[in-house]
Amino acid sequence: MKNKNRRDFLKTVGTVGATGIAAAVGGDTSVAGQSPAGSPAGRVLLDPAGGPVSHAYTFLTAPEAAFIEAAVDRFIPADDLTPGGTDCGVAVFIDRQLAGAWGSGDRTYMQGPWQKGVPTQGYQSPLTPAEFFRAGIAATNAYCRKTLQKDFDRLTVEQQNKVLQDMEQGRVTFEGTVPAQEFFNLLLGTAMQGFFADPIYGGNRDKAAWKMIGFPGVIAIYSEHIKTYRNKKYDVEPKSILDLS
Amino acid sequence: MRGADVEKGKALFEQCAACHSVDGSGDLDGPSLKGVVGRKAGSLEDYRYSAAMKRSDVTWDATTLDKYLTDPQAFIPGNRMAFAGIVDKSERDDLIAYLTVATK
Amino acid sequence: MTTRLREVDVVIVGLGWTGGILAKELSEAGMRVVALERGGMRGTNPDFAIPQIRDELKYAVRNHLMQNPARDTLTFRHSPTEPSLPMRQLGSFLPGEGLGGAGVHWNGVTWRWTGIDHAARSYYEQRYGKSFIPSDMPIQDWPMTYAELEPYYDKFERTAGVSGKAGNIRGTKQTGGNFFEQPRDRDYPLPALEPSYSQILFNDATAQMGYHPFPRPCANASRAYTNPDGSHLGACVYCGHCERFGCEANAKGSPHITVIPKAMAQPSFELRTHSWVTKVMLDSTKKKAIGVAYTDVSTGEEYEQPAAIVALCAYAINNVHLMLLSGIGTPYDATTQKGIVGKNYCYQPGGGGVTLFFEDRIFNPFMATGAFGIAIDDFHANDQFDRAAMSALGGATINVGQSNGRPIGYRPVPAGTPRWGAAWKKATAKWYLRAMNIGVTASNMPNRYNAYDLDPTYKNVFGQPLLRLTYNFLENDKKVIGYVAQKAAEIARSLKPASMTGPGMLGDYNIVPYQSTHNTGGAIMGSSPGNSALNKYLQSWDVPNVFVLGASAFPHNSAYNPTGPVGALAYWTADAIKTKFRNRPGLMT
Repeated sequence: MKNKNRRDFLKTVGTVGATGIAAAVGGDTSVAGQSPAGSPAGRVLLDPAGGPVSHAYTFLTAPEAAFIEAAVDRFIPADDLTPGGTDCGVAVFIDRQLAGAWGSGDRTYMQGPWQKGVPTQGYQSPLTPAEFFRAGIAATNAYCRKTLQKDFDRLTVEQQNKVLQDMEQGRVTFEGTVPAQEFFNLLLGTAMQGFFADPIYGGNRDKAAWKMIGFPGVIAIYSEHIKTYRNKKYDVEPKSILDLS
Repeated sequence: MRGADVEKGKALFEQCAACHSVDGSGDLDGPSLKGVVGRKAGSLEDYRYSAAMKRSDVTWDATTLDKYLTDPQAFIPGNRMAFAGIVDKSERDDLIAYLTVATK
Repeated sequence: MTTRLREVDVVIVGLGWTGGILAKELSEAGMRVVALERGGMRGTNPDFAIPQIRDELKYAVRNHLMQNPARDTLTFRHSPTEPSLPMRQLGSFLPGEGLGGAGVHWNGVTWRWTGIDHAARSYYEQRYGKSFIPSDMPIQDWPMTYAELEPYYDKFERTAGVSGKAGNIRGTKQTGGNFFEQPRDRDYPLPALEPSYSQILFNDATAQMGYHPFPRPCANASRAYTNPDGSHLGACVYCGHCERFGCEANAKGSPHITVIPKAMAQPSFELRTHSWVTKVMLDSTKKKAIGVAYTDVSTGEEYEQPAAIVALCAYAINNVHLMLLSGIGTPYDATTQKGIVGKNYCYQPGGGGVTLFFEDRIFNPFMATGAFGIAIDDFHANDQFDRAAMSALGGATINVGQSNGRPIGYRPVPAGTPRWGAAWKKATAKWYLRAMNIGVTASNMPNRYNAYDLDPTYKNVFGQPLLRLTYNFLENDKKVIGYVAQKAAEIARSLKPASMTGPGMLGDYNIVPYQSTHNTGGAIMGSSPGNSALNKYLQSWDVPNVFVLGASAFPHNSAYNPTGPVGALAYWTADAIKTKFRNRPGLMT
């Protein structure tokens, strides 16, 4: 499985669900074979169930989408356990979150004055999360161009991993308003939300993350199982809100 | 084999009472059970059922109620009732006997 | 333009557990009661129905049942010399909003606090001498004894459907219950829940080491239950979606299925939602409240609701905020140590926990309830536990719960595992089912600098100053955690895990990661106006027709979760209003 490309993986894994994503995004009707793998935005892949699944984005521009796809594929690389982050819908998830209420600063106190503060005081940026992401992507690309002469998504996988590690460890400083480590943490945190949230949000396609760890999903009625599954694996096909809607 | 015990069934109904009434009283979280025996599942006009329940094509009688109450998710997967079921067959018999009488 | 409404007997600010209990008790006694709830109406169906309620992103991450900080929040700093900045997003704690308040989305742990908690100062002075208490630690005794509160604890446990096992019934120790429990009149209304595999391991390990394990009392109903008011609770289904969620099975003791519907059935009760109280109105003497001012946040209309009694039930933080905004009592000044309101803010230090990883054990962390667990109290309620050995006051419980395995939030991996990439995936896939946690929950003693006041800079949407919180974990907390965490680690090692992470050290308080919604103090109760904002009936010394309910009244925080005494004190206050204040308004003695 390791060396198979994404499309082969998607064609060979037959399961239920996830067709709702295509219906929800829609728009692009091109088919998988006509779309080069790795092309950033507006791409359509075959859904595991056979229908087309769009990777169309509403908030992210094409270069931003390329950045996010590369980053989530480094965070969640394709392997025996799951497809890569992009093919699990994590980039689509991030795009929709940024386009939606959370990205716009919902449930966030946005009044000034603004001061940097210390990390234990939490988020203090005057930017909404969507603006913060946009600035963070631009700052990362600027850093990559300055040090490696290319945008992040054009770097080799090894180079991308190194840039992300440096951001994570606080070893790089970005020019501009967005601190590299803070952006990294938000990016990683949001990607993990997408990978593990219910598939209704566009990520965790085919419940890949839930299957990987053995989380059975949403019905969750365990009155008897709490006794009968002590020290015993509970092997079921996970159910999502999407499946039950 | 003993016969079903309506009084015991009435006591067992406490497990249902947080969400259902047998006589249509109250504004509870689950559908009223008044007239449930012989009714098509998911058919009360003033209750919003899960898609699973509406699609189930089940009519409630002693047999289907027994199957449902044994393991609600196994019988109608994806229904919204937050109840694990009743393992003991004689308890189910008692409860169904009570429901049959009380929901008329 | 402000509309002035007709006077009522009681206006309640906030309709969660405390407001709901008051609303029911006082309206049933025939008093005209209006409850003003800043959030909306909500109920089990449709708001907490399967499958949508199982949405971890919406409820557990984006906090859809909680206070919206865009409207009102607080500012925070570690010490008075630092700039205080707004808590722009919720994190460390999650105040509720909407009918039922935080009583809808709590886990359900329902302790009775102990005699040591009631005698917080005198116990330490008598046993260890006055000098054992640091001079900057203003602890004080509660103004009532445990024995006085016992019937009210009983009442709350029966209302909420608490599952547990008594350890001491009228002085007789009970096998299987908490060995260190204070005497209770009778057992819990429901038996303990079925323990998880992790809890059984912990139970056996601690018993073998000579400790005293017992099931933690919790308002997750172990079976269907009808409470004394006739409210029906369903049986818990161990779904692992308690805290931050409403219960679809009506199995979590919550005000929206118990006391609030009973109040709503009374003709003398009226609920107004989306009604945000901005101020308690005082008369010219400042010794009497004449009602409250509020804004209907769905229309922007402003109202005045006159009332003979004002009850602040708006969560511990918001109660203190309203007192300071309204000029009830003297604001506390940490520099001069003068004044009272805002004093003794406490929280709940953790961080001493251990995660155990086993190659060959399966824990199914998603089969879970908010509150079930096995605990030991040997380092907390045990009054023989020698605090001199840890040279600190207070103590900590050691627990194994299993509150959820929701995968955005719960993904244990051994120390040293990267946070992303192939190695992280492999470890996450391997250990998700094979890890268990031993938790350490510590008490928190007050410090002169840990306090609230009004922020000089930041405002809420009504243009009012935000509350300012100055707080940090201090030496006493670090000693308690340090000491008890080592005991937890010994227990963990006895289980021979393949590896374990923790215990960590307690560092500075961080307002970002969730820890607990156990914010206490700020409007503390005590024996005299000199040491407290409230008397033993939670009545303001300064404005006696104002009652302030909730954990804001606690002069310190126990290692026990606060909701048990919060509920008991609400019944206690309701009783005092019905039997004393109603006949003779004024300061009760």
